[in-house]
Amino acid sequence: MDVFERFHTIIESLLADRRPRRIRVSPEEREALRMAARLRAARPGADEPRPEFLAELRRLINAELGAPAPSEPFSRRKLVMGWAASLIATVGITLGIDRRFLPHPPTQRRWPRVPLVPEEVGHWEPIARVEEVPIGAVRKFVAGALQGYLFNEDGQFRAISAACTDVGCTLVWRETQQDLWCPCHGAVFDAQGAMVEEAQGYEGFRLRTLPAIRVKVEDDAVYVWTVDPVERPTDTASA
Amino acid sequence: MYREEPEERPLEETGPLEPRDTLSLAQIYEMYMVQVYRFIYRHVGNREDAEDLTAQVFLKAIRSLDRARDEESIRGWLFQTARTTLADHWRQFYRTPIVSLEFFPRLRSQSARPSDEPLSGDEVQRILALLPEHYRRVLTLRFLEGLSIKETAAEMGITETNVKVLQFRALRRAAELAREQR
Repeated sequence: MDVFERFHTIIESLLADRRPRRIRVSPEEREALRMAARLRAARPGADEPRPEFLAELRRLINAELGAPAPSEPFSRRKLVMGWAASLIATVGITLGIDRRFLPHPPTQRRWPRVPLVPEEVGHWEPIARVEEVPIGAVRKFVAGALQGYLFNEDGQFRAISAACTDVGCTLVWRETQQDLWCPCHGAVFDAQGAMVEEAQGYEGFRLRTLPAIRVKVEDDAVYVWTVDPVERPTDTASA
Repeated sequence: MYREEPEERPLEETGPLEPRDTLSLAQIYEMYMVQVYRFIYRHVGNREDAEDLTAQVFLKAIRSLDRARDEESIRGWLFQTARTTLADHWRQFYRTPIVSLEFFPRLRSQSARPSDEPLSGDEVQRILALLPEHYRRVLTLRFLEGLSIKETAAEMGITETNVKVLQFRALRRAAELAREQR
């Protein structure tokens, strides 16, 4: 890809208010990149923070500062739990799942939003034919360095990683419970990948949500974006 | 932990020594959430990075401030933390091969400068005004008006490929002008 195309990709991300792909750039290109960021920010109202973000940040700050005023944590927590519970209820109803939910105060930093398989190292790999995975079906797959579960939800395919975010054991899909269970420490994740039961010995730890794996359907086949388990040169992005 | 040292605060500032230190510290941070976010946004130009970096700045600042301080020094500390966080961000994610710096002696001295403040709206306008017409046009259409490549191409009567080439060259030239202006 030439420099113009690479920059075009970055600019498109900025214009969509999304994080640009990390690439290796020359000092000159970096200056151009910073100029792009500054111009993007110059659009009126562009630098207004989202209220949801400010609320999240406020919670983070309070948690970090330690115990807030005595009456605070209950109401705040109740608020968070109420919100989370209603969310789970909604999700639960749509998926037909009745399940426990363990709310954990979000005291940890948020995980950075790095793609599971970065653009420059990945490729599409076919994992199934469309007719092999009927609506409502869940199917385990192994593709390159990844293993995951493929879901067909009303004709839409999606996939999540099958590696437990605790210590990496392979999760087992439990058809009756419609969830993913870890044979090592018993953590349970719902069909969306969110932890719903803690791992034994890790009480109080909120495990990271199972990452989604990119999926596409082409010519009656389902593909996932994956990476080969081999070492490769790192500097693939330079022109 | 902040509440344990109320004697650090002058009496006339706090009034009676009520257990308000944690709260007031939270209030101070609250006052700067939007400011810090905007500051960072103007550097990175996208919401996802701006949100993550802003959260990082507050966590770092809170963790490294060992005791309650006055508002002014917290403010200074927040922005200083924001600057170092941004510097790390650019270093880590847009890794520049060290060796090529040798070929850009001018850039090397530039990048060592601490004053990397984002451009104000006026400065943006001033730099745009200094650009040749087609450069100014492509940047205005793309960034300030948010037109797509296709729309920009139609508006300017050139091909989409030409827009891609032009927008990069215009950015590069604008960056040079920004450096010269400082």
